[in-house]
Amino acid sequence: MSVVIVLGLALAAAPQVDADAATSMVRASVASALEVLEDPALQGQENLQKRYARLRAVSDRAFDWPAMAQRSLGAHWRDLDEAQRKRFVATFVELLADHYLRQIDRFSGKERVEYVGTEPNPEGVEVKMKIVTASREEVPIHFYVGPSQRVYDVSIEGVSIANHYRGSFDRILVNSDFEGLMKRLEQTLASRAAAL
Amino acid sequence: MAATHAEVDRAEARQGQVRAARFPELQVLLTVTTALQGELVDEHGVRSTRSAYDFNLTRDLSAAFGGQLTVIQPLYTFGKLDLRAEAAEHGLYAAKAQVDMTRAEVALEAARLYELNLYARSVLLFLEDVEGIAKKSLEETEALLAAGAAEVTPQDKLRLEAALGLTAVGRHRAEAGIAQTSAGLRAYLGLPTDQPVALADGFLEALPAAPGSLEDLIGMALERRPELMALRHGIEAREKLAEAQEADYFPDLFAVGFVSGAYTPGRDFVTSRYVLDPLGHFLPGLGVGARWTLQWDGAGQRAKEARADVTALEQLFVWAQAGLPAEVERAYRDLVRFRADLAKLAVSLPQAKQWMVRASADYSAGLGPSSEISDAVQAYVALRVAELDAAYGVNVALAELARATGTLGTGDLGLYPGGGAR
Repeated sequence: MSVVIVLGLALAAAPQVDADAATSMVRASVASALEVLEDPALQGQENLQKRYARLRAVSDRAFDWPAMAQRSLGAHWRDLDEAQRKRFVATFVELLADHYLRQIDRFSGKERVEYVGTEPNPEGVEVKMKIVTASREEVPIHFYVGPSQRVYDVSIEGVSIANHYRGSFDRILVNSDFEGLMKRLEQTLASRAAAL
Repeated sequence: MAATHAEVDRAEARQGQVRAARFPELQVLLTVTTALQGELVDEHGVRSTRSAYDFNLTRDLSAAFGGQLTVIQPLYTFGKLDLRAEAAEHGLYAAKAQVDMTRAEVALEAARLYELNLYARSVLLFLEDVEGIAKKSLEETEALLAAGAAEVTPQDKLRLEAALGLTAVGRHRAEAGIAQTSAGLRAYLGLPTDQPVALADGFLEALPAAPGSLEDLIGMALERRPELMALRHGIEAREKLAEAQEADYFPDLFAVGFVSGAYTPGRDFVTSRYVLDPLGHFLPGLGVGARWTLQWDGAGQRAKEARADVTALEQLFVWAQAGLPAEVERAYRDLVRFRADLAKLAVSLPQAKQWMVRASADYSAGLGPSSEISDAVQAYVALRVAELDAAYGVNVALAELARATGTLGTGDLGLYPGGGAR
């Protein structure tokens, strides 16, 4: 009985996110990203920076980067002071954005996008879509949209990126401290930026 | 196919010849020859010609018009005609079964070529996808190396270049496969050599047909395979032919009717019952007769030859009865194996993809090496190609199973191309 009451309270407290609005936002963002990928003026390695800038603008509108960074750190977030949190978010958001941009950039723009449906969850709405490549390869991608109507997590092939990083950070922080983790992240970010 | 249809025409003609032998045989002979005129003179009962000893070529020369019609109706042949008719009928059934055999062989070969063409096209599309991604990864890696990124090594670049080399080799093989199977399909379908081959399916997928139990399939094969039908009728035909050959020891009894006549202008008609003038007469007649054509033991030896054919066909029949279940089982086990592969790959492929996603996420944050992405991609590519192999294997096994059960191209059972799946 008490379990039912707790569950009921939890559902009652769950934020109300308009599934249609969330789907429209995801659709519009995906369409904008594909537009960039198909743009002949932005093709090739020589236009990488321009392409990334355009994709970054699209993803900044759709993704709640700080929320994604916070989720990725999990319970360790609570152990950080405000300055450490800001430092982590500033670095990790850039790496995360870079990761997504590289993933998106791997598609040619000729892929077919299919929307599978939506499913409410305690934190918002899960918008399910899949990308079908020319060789009929299906890549399921689920966007988790929060009350801010922005994406707070993405799952690709059933792997939640926030959950994945949480596990990776856990393993690093067992043998190292926050400073050690930040050193690795900042070093990676520097080399990525230099390569662009 | 046209050649086997000609065999049916040949068997039908043979049957027609036997049927024709039951009808009366007609022989007609018409002649026009030179003749001499002659006038009969009665001299006390002795007939002679007035000019018998006074021959004048210009005065006596004439032309004789003669004709002879003989009708022979077989009455009793000691079974020769009936046995040959039965042999011809079984021969026709055997020829028709051989058409079905050839049709199934052609259909199976066309199915193999179709599936192989689709497989090669699908592999090509997949490799082009992989190649596109690998090229972008190589560009990224080169940029990171140029920027002096610590997490990237020259080996990463070489690994990607090696992968691109392997992809190119696979692409060449797929392109050659498409060209070769297209040429094969054009040959089997009788299309012009310059006509492009367009397939109904865009991408290879395993057909869903459920074939039932192995025992049922074997039972169906033994009942429906045209090879067994052809052998059964072939044996019957040879048996009957052997019996017919043995009947050649006996005569053919027949009724005969004939009319013979000749007329020569200027030549009197001899009415004597003892003398028949070949240049002027009319002679009808009816009778019965018997006709033998004996070649020592030729009939027996011909029967022996036909019986040797029977023995050979019977041995083939025994072999086929043992071989067909094995053929069904081989296709069935292939199907089971490839379906099991697909079931396993349905689990393994997503796992490989998850590995790629995780390895890529770690690499992006500097938490993992790029070599792990390469390992994951390599595993994924191998599994995806294995999935296409298995889908091809399922479809070909279904076509072979349909052929083995005698249902290929008949639409029965829906094994291949599958009940509405294509």
